[in-house]
Amino acid sequence: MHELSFAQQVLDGVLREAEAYPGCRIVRVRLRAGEMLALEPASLRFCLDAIAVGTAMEGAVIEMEEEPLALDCPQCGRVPAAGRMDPVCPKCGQPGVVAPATDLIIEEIELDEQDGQT
Amino acid sequence: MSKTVKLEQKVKAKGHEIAEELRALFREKGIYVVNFIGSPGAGKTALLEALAPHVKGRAAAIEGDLATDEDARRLEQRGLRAYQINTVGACHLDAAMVRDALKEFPLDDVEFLFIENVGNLVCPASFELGEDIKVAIVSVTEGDDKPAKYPKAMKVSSALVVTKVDLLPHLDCDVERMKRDAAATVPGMPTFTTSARTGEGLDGFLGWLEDMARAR
Repeated sequence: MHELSFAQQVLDGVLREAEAYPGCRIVRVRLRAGEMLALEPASLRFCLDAIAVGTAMEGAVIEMEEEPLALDCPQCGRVPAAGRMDPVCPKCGQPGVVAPATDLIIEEIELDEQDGQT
Repeated sequence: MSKTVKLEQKVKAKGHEIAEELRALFREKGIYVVNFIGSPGAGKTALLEALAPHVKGRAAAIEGDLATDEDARRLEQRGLRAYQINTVGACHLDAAMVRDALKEFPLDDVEFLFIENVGNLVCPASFELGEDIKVAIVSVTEGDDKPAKYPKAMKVSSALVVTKVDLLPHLDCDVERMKRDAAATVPGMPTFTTSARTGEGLDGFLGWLEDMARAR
């Protein structure tokens, strides 16, 4: 259950960015999570919903995309290899290196300008 | 009106800043810190018990468990200074827990600090404790598929220690597969095959740790 710690960091990061847009609510947050992080989307959403209550992010839609594992093959370059830890290139059979996919990224946020300006 | 802001901002696990403070503190004191991660029952404490006679007087250990101070007491019986953290419900140690432990467990004249994380191959991989390296501990009884099934734990680790190899004659466990899968995430990842019972492989692992500490 490491999702809560990541959720807290996402909330902090989003609220920090939103400070530049006073009076706005955050209506959507788009995340990208590396497969290796083993973050469970439902669990992360649940944590985010719970801790966002009372903040500008309350009720925001959380979109989460998984960045799948990939293999760096010396011949074929980066080859998609979701769910695979086999260090052999699925295309040419040469040995390669499993690419990290270990980051959680806040890709974008959508803000609702409540006071109707702009 | 709504507005979309592109961020591409990387999120660090909680406690990242505290971990950096701890890392600086350990560097200043000249302590090489090793974070052991592995499943419950992988043999993390047994490995430390077996290493204890070799590092007694120049190493200390911080033990993480949900409950009991059994592990710290086991290590103290072997002459290793040890401090027990009880996480109560948490499935991993975080940097704040280590910082709090250090208030009651001053480390002045040690070269090594071993931090034994809560038994879990998933969550501890995401948290920095200010350590120099993580070492993944996997026993042969868990099955040879574990490095492949827990790639994050391998990716963040600097070495894989395979434990309980004295049991290999009784098991269908392919240690070569474990090595291969670990090396798939970290090319050239050193793997040590050890037995806390027979002492096999301990010299090699300890020698490697000494080299790593010197090379820091």
